[in-house]
Amino acid sequence: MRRRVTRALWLGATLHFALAGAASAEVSSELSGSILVFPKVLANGTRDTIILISNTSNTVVRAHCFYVNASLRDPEQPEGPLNPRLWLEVDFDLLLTKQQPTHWVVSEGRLVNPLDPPCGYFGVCLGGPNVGGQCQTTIDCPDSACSNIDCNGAGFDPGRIPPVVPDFEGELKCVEVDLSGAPISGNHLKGEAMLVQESSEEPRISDLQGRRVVFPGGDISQYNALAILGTENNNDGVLVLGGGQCLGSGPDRDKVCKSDEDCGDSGPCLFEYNACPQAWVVQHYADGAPNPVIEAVRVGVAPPLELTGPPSQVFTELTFVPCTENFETQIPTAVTLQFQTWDEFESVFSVSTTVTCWGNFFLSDLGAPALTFAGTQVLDPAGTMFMETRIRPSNASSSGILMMAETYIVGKINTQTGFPFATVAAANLHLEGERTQPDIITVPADQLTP
Amino acid sequence: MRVHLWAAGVGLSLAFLALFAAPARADVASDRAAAILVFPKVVVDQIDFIAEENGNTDDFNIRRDTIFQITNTSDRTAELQCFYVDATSRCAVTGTVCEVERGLQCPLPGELCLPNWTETDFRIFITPHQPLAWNAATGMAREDVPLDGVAFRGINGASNAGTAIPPLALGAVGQPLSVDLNYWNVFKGELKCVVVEPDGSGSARNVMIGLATLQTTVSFVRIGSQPLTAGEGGAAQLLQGQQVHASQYSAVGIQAIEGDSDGNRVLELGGERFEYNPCPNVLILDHFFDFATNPVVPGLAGVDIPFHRTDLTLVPCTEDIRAQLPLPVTVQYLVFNEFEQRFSTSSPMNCFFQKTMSLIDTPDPKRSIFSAFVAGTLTGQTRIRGVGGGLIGVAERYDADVRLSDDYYIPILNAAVNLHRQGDRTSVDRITLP
Repeated sequence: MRRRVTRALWLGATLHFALAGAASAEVSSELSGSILVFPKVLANGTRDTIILISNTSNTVVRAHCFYVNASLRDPEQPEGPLNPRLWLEVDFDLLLTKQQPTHWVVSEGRLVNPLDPPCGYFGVCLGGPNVGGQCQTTIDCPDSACSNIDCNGAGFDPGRIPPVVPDFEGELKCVEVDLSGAPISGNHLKGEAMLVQESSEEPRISDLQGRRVVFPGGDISQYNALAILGTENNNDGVLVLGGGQCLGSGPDRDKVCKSDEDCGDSGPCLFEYNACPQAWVVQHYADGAPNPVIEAVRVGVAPPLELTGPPSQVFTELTFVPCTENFETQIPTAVTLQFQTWDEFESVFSVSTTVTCWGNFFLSDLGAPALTFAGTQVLDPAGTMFMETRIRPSNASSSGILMMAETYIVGKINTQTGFPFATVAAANLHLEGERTQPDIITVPADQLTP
Repeated sequence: MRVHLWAAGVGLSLAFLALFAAPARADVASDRAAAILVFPKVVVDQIDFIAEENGNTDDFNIRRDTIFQITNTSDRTAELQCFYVDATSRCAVTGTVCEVERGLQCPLPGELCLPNWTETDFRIFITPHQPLAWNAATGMAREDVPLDGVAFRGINGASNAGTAIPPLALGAVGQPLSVDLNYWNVFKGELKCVVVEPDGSGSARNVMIGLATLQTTVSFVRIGSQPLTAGEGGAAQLLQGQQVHASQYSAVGIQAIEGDSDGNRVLELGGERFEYNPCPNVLILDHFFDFATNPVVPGLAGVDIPFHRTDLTLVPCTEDIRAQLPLPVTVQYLVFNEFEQRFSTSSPMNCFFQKTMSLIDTPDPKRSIFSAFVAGTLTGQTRIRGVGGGLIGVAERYDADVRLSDDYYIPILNAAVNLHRQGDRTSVDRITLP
């Protein structure tokens, strides 16, 4: 009798927590999570990336991180069946003390050096007549810059972080683990990535969707890492997003599940991480559309002068990584993406494409004229400038997606260089819903031992 | 008996859930559709001046503007009531713009620079899945809406008729520069948009998303220059130049639970009425400390950059737009460097807060706990909490600027970012609509 009462109460409690645990599902760009995903990491000689990660808890936190190199086999050639992406993974560990922030430049990595000097009250002039002298601002360094780069390594080093290979483009993923190396759902990690345009002696002329433009050295764009929140965890290397694994003994132990019914006698289903979003919503310009603020610029007052030359243009570049990734087999995941776009006149059209391992392309690269300003001018010479695009994996795809976007703005011609200046800004995107099918990140077991 | 006990266990659990389960959880987030959109940072700077150098006369135009993009993610038309909150300080007598901490003084001796909190509201009707965009300086006139309801309607007959977005009321800066100034107009403040029902009460429809682009355009034309031959990529007839810099942040969305269900036009964020989700308890920002070199471009030179900085913008969750009474909030900061060393400070806030971080705790930024010189590392984590009210904010990092006076600058090489959040406030915040 007593055992029956206890069993009934246990069953009730399990049911309660199963119901409560399934209520919320979240991938967020603003909350701390148990898995951090930086979809766009570049170190290609033109742009570099600074990673900032913090432990938001009052306990020591450890993370196991992966760089996924998605460079093309031949970076000089376009992507194709004969020139696929590499999908090479390099992993390393981080240890962060309570509330500790850390950072590193991906092209340089970070060494463990307890002798790194802290930043002092002065920097050093890098050149000019006061080269090597103390400074606090650039004003103290005529014809040069004041730098405190010597204290770049100051702080508790989180671990030995390898530099990425040259021409790296890909993602960074960090999984929170305990001190034994087992994944946990602590939800203690947050991160940001800063993409930096490297400076050069001469203006760096780049190709941007058919236009030759100059990006100023030091131009930065920044986005928040996507955090996948965890609920429970069975601490193995199979990380289930939007589901869990059967916890009980029996033939279905460790089977991926969405509910206790999936486990049968091997229940309950231990819900691990929250689901990837069902869809993403992007607000963007039609690719190539003019920028209204630039076009409205009038210099002077008598009379106000309009800058001449070709119009300004705005482009949007999207970056995708699949939610499902198998670091054990290292077989990249292919996801078919469906794009549904509305313009300002409620006209709707759609297009699709497939991304394998990592995708990074402009909207105009999808081959749909309706996504370009020139294409919208076919029906209406005035064109339409602003659009909303909803992006989701196809129903047949085995994986969800995580993504971010960058907006490139090209200005008017600069007659000193002969080319227009361009700038870039990054933004996190909006999410909708949650996937009904679980995604799985498989981490090799031997990577999870300390 | 066995069946009864099992049922008792289930029943107990369901009863427990019924007693203690809250209504479906909503969020304050910048990555989900919501019923209230907050754009904490709206800036406009329009400057036109003439400079002479090496015998050349150049007319410079610097324009910093905010481009808003909002989208209705639903299949039904949404009506928004929006509010520009003008927080640009004004001189008491001349009425010109002032910003003492950034060197914009009032022109008359002894003239006081008074904080400002003025609201301008307008309506937007946005059709299903429609994106709408405008820039703050020019707004969107009735005749400029895409679906005017006369010549153009949406698929189901919906239109933007009734939409009229006013241009921002810019304030003229009275302080003369050392250059020949044509004009200098400034605005700083926030934009807030609430999805409303036809009766004007707050709606429970979480359907809106927003994106703001803070764009700086620095242009010049050489006065008296002769027409040029065409350059690569197109013709430029004047000796001209232009730099463009931009940063983006997503509007912070406050999700509704039941909306303004009692129709009193007091939107409660948090609390037991379950109208809207509570504001976050803590905002978290990872950032480079001020004066910290960007390690990728440590030798960035040739640009007038006294120091690298992060500007923090905060707006209160509680706003009485009806009575236009600002609520004072004390902002508490906890700062951790990469040695896990902790510093703290606080600052008062009245309706709107926008400051370079190293000027929060001291007028000498080099001695601030937000400076790399004091913190001792290049990056840190700052935790921000409001006492007496919740906070929403964004941050913007600059690695260079265009300097117009000793203290007044226009940022370039900049990037904006939404703040992270942790926990929910237990106290209620209220937005009181007119």
